[in-house]
Amino acid sequence: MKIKVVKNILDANQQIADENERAFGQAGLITINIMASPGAGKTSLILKTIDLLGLPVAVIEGDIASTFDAEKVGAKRVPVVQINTGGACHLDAAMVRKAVKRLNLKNARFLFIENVGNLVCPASFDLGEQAKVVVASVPEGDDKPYKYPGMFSAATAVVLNKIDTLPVIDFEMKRFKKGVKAVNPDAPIFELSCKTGEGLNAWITWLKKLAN
Amino acid sequence: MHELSITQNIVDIALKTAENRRVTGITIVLGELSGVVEESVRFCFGAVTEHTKAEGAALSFEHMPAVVRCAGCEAEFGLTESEWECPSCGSVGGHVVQGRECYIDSIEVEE
Repeated sequence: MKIKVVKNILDANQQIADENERAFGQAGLITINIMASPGAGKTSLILKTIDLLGLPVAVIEGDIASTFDAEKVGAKRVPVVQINTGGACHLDAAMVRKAVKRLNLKNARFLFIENVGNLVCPASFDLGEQAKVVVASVPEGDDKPYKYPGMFSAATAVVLNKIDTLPVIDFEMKRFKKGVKAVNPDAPIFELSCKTGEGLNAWITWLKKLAN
Repeated sequence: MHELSITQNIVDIALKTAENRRVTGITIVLGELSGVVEESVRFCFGAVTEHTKAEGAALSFEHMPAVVRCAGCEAEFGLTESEWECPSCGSVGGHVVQGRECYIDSIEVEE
């Protein structure tokens, strides 16, 4: 006997994500899910953002192993909690719910969630965030949106980091932007360098708009 | 590679829907952009269903290609070329209208 089901395979995650979203909303917390391949500059972007945003921030660091990133963020004297997924390639909504309980969010206005470095799986798992931000970087090449359309189509905004390396790397900006636009015509693209600080103002302005 | 947890979810939903009957088949719909790979789900399925009422169930997959609706003229087209342009008006890309699917369409249970 055939039974029609039509149920999202990730329904269990989605339900917890929806609960997270309600809780974040009630707390007046803007939650940003930062996704990228390893080494694109997720942590650097969060560190720069803490310096420039001028609003209280809390951070969840997701990694397969280690606490390096949480230590770097903790040095900024902001509430931070490290999730070690122990091999899992992405954060899920239940991990975030658990981590949030360990965070002092009393004064926080923004919660940045640094996902596991991976351009595939994190796109499928909603965490209850208000915005998904994909960080690409110039040395990775201009073909990333074409190779990972699932990730780039899920993004609320795209950051292109390490633009200070443009003079020495074969990277065609037009091709990169075309690739993003192809799957996601509405997403703003912020070209910036966490190293030199160039371009960070537009990113900070965009974040502040989310808070208003 | 999160297919083990994905497969666990598939089996959980199927067993719950079957209400204690034996599951003999599961039909899964996967979009090209879902990030889920049929072969990996098949690989995990045996281990996940061992000693459950879904053990030995036949898996079938329907694959949905990625389709975007042109931001310029609203024509729908597939992301088949490497640099995606609308075949009707030449605009670049659009909004994804198909390809994110990741759901169980139906199951077969023993009467």
